[in-house]
Amino acid sequence: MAAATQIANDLHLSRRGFLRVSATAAGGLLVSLYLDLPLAAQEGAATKAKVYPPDAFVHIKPDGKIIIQVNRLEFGQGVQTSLPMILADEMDADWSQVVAELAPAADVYRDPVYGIQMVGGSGSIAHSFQQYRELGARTRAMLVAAAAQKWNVAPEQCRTESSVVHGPGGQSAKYAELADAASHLPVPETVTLKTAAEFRLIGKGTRRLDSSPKCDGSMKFGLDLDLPGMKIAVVARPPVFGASPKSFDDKAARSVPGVVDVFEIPVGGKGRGVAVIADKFWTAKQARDRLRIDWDFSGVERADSSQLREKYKTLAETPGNVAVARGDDKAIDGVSASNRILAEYEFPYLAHTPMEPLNTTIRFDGDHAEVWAGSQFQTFDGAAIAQVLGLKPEQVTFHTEMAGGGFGRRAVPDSHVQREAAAIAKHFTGTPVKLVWPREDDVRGGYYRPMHAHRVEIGIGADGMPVAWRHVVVGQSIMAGTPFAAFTVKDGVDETAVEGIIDTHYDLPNFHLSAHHPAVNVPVLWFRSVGHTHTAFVMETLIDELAVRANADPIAYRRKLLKPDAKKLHRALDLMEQKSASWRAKLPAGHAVGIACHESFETGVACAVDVSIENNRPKIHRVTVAVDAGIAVNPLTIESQFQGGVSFGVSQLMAKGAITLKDGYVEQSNFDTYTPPYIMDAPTAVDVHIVPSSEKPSGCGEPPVPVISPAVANALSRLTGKRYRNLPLVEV
Amino acid sequence: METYKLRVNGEAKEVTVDPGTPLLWVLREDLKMTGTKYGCGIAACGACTVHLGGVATRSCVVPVSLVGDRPIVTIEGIGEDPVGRAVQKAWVSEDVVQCGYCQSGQIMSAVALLKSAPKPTESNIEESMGGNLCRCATYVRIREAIKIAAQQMS
Amino acid sequence: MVCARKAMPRIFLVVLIACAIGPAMPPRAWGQSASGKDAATPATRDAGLAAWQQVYSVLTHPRCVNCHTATNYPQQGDDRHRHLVNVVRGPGDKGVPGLNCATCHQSANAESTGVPGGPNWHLAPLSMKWQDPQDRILSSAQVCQSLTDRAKNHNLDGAGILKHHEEEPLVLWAFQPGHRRDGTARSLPPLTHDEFVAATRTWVEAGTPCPKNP
Repeated sequence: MAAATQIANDLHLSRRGFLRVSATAAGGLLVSLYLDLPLAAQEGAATKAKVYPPDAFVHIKPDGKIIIQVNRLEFGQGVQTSLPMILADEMDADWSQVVAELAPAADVYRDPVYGIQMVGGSGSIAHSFQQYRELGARTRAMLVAAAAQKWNVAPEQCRTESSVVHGPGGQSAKYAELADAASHLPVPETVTLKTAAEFRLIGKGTRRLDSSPKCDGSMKFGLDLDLPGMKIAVVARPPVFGASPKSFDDKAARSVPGVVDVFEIPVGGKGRGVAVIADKFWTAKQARDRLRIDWDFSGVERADSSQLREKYKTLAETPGNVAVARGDDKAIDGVSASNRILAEYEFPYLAHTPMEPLNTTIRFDGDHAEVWAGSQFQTFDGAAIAQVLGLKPEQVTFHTEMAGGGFGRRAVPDSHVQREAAAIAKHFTGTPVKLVWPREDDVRGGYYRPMHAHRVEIGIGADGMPVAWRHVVVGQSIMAGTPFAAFTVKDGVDETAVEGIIDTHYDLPNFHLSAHHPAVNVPVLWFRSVGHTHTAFVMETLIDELAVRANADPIAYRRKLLKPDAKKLHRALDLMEQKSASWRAKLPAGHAVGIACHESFETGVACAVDVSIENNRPKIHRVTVAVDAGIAVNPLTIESQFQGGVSFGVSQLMAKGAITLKDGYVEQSNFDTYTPPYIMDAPTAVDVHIVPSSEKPSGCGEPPVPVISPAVANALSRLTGKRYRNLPLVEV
Repeated sequence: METYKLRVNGEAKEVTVDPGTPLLWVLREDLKMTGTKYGCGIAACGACTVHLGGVATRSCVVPVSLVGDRPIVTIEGIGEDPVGRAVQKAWVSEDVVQCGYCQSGQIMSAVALLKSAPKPTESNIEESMGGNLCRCATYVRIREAIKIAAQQMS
Repeated sequence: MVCARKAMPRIFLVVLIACAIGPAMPPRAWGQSASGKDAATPATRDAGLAAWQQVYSVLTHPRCVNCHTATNYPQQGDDRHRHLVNVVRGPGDKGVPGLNCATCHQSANAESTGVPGGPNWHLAPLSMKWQDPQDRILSSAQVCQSLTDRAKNHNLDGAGILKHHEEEPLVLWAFQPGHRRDGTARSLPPLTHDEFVAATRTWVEAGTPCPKNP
């Protein structure tokens, strides 16, 4: 790891560095940085765009079906439809014949920007748009070349439409007929892509390919996998992260009929647990719950939310590692007290709780292993499994299963779930073992969005605009200790803890931002929209407070404070204002509007919410949200992501929407004590408006999430006069 | 271990299991019918919803010993029912699903609602669907699809 | 409020005054004691009131009062929190389609999953609410009045109430409420079922006297 860090520092690698992950013979996980920068010393002046082989992505069957490989996990975000759309459009394929498959782990399926097979960072379309276009165009070119050869005409004289090549003299041939010949032709280096006017699929709202099987019970998720002779494993993990069993009594567990074995394994967070393996899940879980384990807590830090809140509050009172130092950091001291805001915010740990419980199935065959997992991180996970099993990554066949949600939980740099599964599978050569995390294990198992504290001091000028902004953020670093630290932690600041502030599009004079990253014995992880989950809440509620103080319209105030070059935000704000004008003008009594805008993952989002208070809770009647994400590949996907994403964002407001620890123990255990939004908690209506654009596409998976909680809080502030600084919203 | 005769989607089935085994796991592991999902195990999310004797039932908390001779209908069989078909069709036409994991349960709950209230109000929808969790939060489309299904049915 | 037909003069006067200043008699209010005894002697009436307090202590124990709510929802647990998963009363006191009581609660306790059950699991009607809309348990006098009001109690007389306490399956459930999913036993009402029935009988034989409103 040290060597990799050195390289990163020397070359000031940006976030877009490549990673190569492999297991070393010595048992370490070597992460070397695979440099592919347009350096003059390398091959030629410009970076050569990688030519992806169509035959790894497209298979045209004799019956005309077109199987397209999707190079990343589908877990609800719609890539299983939108990526094939892109390829099928350039290919001029008959969309009704397209079948999408989730590609297994292989080098060719690595994300073109990050160099690992992964999904996250709302990067699917952004990173693979060009790639899939070229794949489609190359495939089309080869089919045309095959037809042209067959008819002895020039390829330019042919045209394609809906899986048919048409020749100049009225000839025609179906793609299925040409596929074999085409596959023997060389893959063209250069291809011509369509102009936007020529798109037939891209830009059109297209229904998902995977709907029907998800509505009739036939779609198989990872948890549904059934293999001959398969066993199920459920693990008893330490109730305090990092602890280990001193001893355990498995008599009662083993007496449950169907239990096959019980043994200790290492678990995530550097602890050890006890695995129970049985023929069925119910058996394994019952038996696991009957284990009597004497845990050794010595030397293990017992994280406690109340203590951490105190500690974080104190830390926030002093400057941390500097992230931004613009202007005079003493400017604020010169502002009179009545023109200053001092705001302290608190955010709890959050658990992702995707609906499908975590699971991985592995069959270890001694010199080979086969894996089935709904993984967001196939490259990392495959390498970790290989390491645990003493194999090379190439000796692991990794199937990507359909996943029931992820929100970041299925992308874990330490691959702890897969490591557990491998440690278990190692005991059962030739037998597939499915590791399942029951819901309680998931809620208690860590890898949370970290706790945070913010302390913000704002000096306000005579015109109501800020003249100084001093901001301290406190929270565990998600990236520290991961291979990503090299290019995400700079000068002691984890970018993911301050994104949304460090890159704010508001023109803040005398702007100082710093961060503390205490080490806490709680494993943490990125959670859908990562740092923006808390930074947007802070920024957008403070901007709103400033607008209120200035007696200004909240939209106009933002427009004034945003930098002119914040194009996407301005466009989103304008469109949202326009589309919500009529309902904002005639709100019923007891309702208020809340406004928020935020850019994340290069997508600009603005929303207006209509909120009233019912039974002491916010009732969100309507959300109007506008988005500028560059070119909209599938407007229906974007609409879904925004309707779902803003509703997902309500998680942070739920009264039982916090993970808390007491003396090292997680206090919540299931949806009764950690409760996500149900239908009545989510907005009743969400209308989504897409800014027309021909710019390159940016992400839509995460950008909806940050805006909703500040917008709702802002509406509530209008109704109650209170400012909301602590999440979750335990009371209104 | 006890042997139970069950009627699932019109077919006779027989299983020999521990009496306390929830119907959910009998369906999923003994009968290999994985359309009914496990989300929480404490009846808080609705992913395990089946129809038992015509009543929407959370199979994760019902031990197979309490099923008796009541017929069971699962997501795999609800398409035989005209209301079930209408709901599935509306779910597809309105592009409701995202990850889809909760949707078996959502559909089974929606069918129960529409069988009892063919023209449900917004309030009916919120109350009847109010115990089904969707982490992708497809709730807005679920509301629309239920209304569309109701329209198609009338 | 019972007005005795025959009493020793002093008691009669007290009872007469009590009748006069007590709440207005509903049309089909109690007049006769169920056992046929003509007179509520002081000992019987006091014994009746004491027995009633015992009955009240059971009725307002969480195992009973959790379903005798004044609201749109049941309660659960010894802390009587609002029942989880957004279940609601519904028009027939048995939930709504998709979320009926029977969606989870079967005809017997599900010990392996910790869900209590009994035949025809449902909420008591609102006429039998023993709490106020803020979830505060009503006073002994208020509950007694409700329970003995034949316009509210499905027209049950004393014998009917006694039978209800003796035989109604969901009443019986309260005394065998099963175990939670963590294996711990649900707490029991302060009397056994037999004691509860005996106290009810004493109260009924005393003419189901109710304490005065405080």
